[in-house]
Amino acid sequence: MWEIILNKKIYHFVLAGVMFLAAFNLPVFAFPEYTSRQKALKLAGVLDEGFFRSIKIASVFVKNRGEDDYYLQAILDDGSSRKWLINRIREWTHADELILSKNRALVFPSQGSTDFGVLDKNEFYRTVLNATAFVKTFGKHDVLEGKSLILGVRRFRILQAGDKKFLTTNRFGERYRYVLELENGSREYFTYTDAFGFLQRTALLQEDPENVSVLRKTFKVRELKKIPLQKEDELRGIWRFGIEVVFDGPLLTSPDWFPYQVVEFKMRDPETGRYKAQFFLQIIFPNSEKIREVSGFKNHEYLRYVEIDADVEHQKRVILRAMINPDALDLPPFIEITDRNSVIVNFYSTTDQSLTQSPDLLASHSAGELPRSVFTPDQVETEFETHYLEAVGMIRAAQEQLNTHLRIETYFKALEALKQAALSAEFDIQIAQALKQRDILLRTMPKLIIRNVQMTILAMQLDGEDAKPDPEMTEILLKQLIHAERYATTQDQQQKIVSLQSILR
Amino acid sequence: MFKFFIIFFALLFIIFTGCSTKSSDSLSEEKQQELEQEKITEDLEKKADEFPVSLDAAATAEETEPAPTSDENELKAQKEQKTPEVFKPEQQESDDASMIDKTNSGHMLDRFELIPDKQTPFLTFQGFFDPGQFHHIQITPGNSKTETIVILPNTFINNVLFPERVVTSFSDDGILEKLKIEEKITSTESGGIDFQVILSISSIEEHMLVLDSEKSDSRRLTFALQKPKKKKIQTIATKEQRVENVVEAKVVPPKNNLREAMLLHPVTALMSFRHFDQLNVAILNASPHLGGAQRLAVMLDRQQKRMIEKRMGMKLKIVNISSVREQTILPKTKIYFHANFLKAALILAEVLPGEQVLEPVPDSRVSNLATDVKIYVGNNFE
Repeated sequence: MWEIILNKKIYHFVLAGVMFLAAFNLPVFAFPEYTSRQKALKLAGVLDEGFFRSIKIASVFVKNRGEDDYYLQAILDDGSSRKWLINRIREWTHADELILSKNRALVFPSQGSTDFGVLDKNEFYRTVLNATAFVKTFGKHDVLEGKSLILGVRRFRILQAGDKKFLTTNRFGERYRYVLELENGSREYFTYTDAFGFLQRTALLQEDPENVSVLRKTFKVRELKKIPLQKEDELRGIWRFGIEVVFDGPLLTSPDWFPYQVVEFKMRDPETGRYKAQFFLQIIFPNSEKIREVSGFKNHEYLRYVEIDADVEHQKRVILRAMINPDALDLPPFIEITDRNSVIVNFYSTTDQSLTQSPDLLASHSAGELPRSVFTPDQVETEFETHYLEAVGMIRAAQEQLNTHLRIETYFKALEALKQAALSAEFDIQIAQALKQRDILLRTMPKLIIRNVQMTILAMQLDGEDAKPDPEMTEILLKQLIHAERYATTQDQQQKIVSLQSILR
Repeated sequence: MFKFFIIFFALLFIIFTGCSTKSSDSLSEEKQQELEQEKITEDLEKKADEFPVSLDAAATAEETEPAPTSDENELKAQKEQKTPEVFKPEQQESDDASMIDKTNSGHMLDRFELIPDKQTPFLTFQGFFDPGQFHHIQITPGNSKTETIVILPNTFINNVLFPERVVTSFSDDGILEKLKIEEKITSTESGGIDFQVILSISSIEEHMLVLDSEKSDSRRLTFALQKPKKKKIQTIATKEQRVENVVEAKVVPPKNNLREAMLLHPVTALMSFRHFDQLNVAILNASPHLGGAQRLAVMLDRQQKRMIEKRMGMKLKIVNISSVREQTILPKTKIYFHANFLKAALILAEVLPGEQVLEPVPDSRVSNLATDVKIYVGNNFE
């Protein structure tokens, strides 16, 4: 026995066997060979009367190899009987070796699963030829993942010799069959499986939807403008600046179609020669084009080398790019669409690093799952939410109010709403946040009130000594000062309040 | 000479019978997971208390196939089959199917409660639960449109407090019609015990069952019974082979209500999120290199953990190490972060070698709230 095994010839056989296996192993086993009984029965029905390598399929049977492993046995018109594993069937459909009857195509939409579908090509042609709009949904790991754009359809064609992707395949080995030329100038190449998917999710629309605009041309970038630094939130000391991207026409879409990403590049430091990580913030504009030179800026607050470029990897996309210091980026950018054919990308800066940290609750040290935000995950608005949203709305509205007196009055109303929110809170996070916002307001209000009273008295003095103070206003100001006195944090504030009270009285 | 052939074919036969039951994909995946698992096990043995990933996880990610039987039954194809073929939606994201702590923890069901609500009723199970294993719960459609199957792995039923196995006593105006509970305890080949509970939930009208992670914790497990927001579209299938699929109607722009508007704006969002003391990170291998996720996890956990934690002001916890089964290879490592975790993601990116791309978690994937940051290890990670 050992003599035989150690004989040199045996090595040749073993080597041949290993090579055979290695060659067989890669694509053949990438897809399941067997399927469930139910699917096998249905697949057999679908394949019946089709053609396998130009030979008509006379009959297809289902066989099993174990309790759950089913495959097909086909009898062809030439009298031969063949064992068909599911992975082989899938490959033959890709290579057009297995053709269904009635101008249909077999597709396996899920990679790694034997779920299958049947594309009725005639029905597909009727649908696509009548389509006026195409719902383009962006795939996994695209920055626009899960989002859809509705694009006008210009022309549908079956790929022919000479076309760009004729006879080429996608990464799953499926041949591109069709091309859809869109009105914005982009092209969608797709396979039978893609076509099946389009029909499944009604991606081909015969009529324009009522509530969403169909994009028939790209947005063309005209210029970039700086939006100067301005105060965003006086309570937290947050500042805002921005970049305005002006387009050639109205943007018929919503701000969430313009996502952002941060990209890290390792760049060589010219001084040291070492590679250093540089971070670039990129705002993506789909369905957009840069058809002429648009000058950017070298600096704008913490942004460096602000420029707009065409995306070289994707059709009809432009990218607003700026180098950033990651330590300065405390808050994400916020996109606004204006009514002057532009998009403003707002950036925020703050010196208070603790702002990005909400109250550190003792409860958050527990291992259990706790709510992330003050809002409950379901869409039902609780009493707390009603009051809390009202308070936040008032705080934001107050900050836009130029009249200090009115602003203080709005803050008082916000304080009341926060109190109501705290009283109706159901979770620690809710009450903690309500109290935190209250404390921020209380900390800021004495300073505001003092300034307001000072300005009012000054205005009265400027009116002349004879000007009679409005008793109603005086009463309001005194009330404000009482509130300020209660929450004044410094000796200086206390002294000013006493002084102002005596003047008013 | 004849003996050579016999030996040769015997060898081939042995090799084939070993290979033919599984695809190369699953084999390479298994191998990858085994390799990762071995490395993790070594690491964990050295540092058992510090490393947060459980040991025998890879075993659960594998699909064991039944041994082939020799009897072959022949069935004539039923050409006039009228039952529609239903494409099952993916039961869970492939990249989540990795590490399950099956050793010492699990769930125990004591009782259940149906919380009625006009918009979204909740089905809550009370007992003892391991929140770390919530993402392994599988929710699949049942035999009918109104039935949903929920598989709770590593779960027992408290037979004293919860003796019923079929509950039909629901109020007439409620959403539920029937609740069937089945406990499955099987012994594994290694001599261990595999236990799970299968819930079969039948409702009066069509609904979508969603695990509510915010209403679930160590003492309760809550499912929201949501009205389906998706519309059903039937197309192109013949009578024999009708394919149904549930597709989200994406044509309509999302409603931008006050709450969403507040959460979207960075300043007002500051007023709504709470501070976390722990960053849950999942690391998934989306590179062609074996063990990429594991190597990154070891690097983060051993070499950089203290520094990262100091900079972030949070503990770093690696909750999942896995590989992506979606045949995706990313050229660059990608870091997905949930709202309010931009700063943490930037700190991670600064620490990681190579070039990274950081993106907020897409809206279509935000349902998985158990992980704050997901790192897809790309081809550029070495």
